[in-house]
Amino acid sequence: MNLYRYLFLFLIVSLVYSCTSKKDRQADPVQTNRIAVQDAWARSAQRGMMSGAYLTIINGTDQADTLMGISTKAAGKVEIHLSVEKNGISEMRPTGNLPIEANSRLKLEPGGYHIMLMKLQRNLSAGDSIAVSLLLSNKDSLSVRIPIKEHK
Amino acid sequence: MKFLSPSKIVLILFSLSLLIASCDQPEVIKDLSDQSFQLLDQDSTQVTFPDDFQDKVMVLGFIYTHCPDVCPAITANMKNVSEQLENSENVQFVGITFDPRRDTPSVLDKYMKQFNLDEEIFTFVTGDTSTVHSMLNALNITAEISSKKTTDKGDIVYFMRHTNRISLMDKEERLRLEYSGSYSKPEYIVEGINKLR
Repeated sequence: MNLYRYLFLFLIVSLVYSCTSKKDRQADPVQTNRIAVQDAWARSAQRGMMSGAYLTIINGTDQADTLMGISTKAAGKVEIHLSVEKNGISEMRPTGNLPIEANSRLKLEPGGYHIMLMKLQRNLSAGDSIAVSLLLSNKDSLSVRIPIKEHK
Repeated sequence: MKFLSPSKIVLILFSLSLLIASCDQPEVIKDLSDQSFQLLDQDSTQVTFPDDFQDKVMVLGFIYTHCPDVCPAITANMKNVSEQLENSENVQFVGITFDPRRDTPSVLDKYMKQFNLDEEIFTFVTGDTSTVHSMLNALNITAEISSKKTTDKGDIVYFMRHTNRISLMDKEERLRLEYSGSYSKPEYIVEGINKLR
């Protein structure tokens, strides 16, 4: 009787362990064979104006990839720019394709690379979100939902 | 052994406290009290800078609305400063555009609404190109077109290279303190405002 009890306990523990392990692997996509997006957000703005959006692309594959473009119906034109500052003078430069090395992250963040959403087709209000497609060289496109936040 | 009289001790202590207080005051960078720039605010109301804000500590932020990254950070920083002030009496926040050609009063009005700024203490100004450029020069601000292109539809799109700055002017219309607009912590700017009050 004790043998069956121990066997039952072993099965329960194994089941719990395997479920926990799977969640841990999903929480850290750098270790999985896929590309994911984290920490996406965009600034609130009015229709016709301009906004900036930011996100981190995580390449969890063993192959380098390239961010080739971004599109959204929320803006008439979308470009990726880089903010640079030297001696207190700031400027933006449009960038070409951005490489994403294997097993690494590409950060688009304030003061660095950022997405320029130009000629907004509608108001972007805090609490709202926009649908965006990231065009990658190894994948047709990656769809992302970007939440709109108050300026910080 | 002779000791100083109480009255002499008081005089010495008073003089020392005045000396310490004066050392803590920021130097005058530039005196603009003899200058006058005719501008328009977000409601298209005429503004004379800096005379219209005399007797107030002015918090100046320099932006243009076609800048989606650094300039919103500067404006957000100004808002954070206004919210950290214990009281905003005799403090005026002034947003000044580098790009008067595109940043008309109505555009600045829309821009202010994006940030939900309190129009009791915030105003954004623009004007004719030569006046705005003269004023920026007087305030030690650099702004110039860094890249320009024509779209397929014939629209001209340009971006600007500009000083990243929040400046403070005192009640006597003198430029006294300069901070990084997007990187300086609001509490440091609040400290500067309180020194000038």
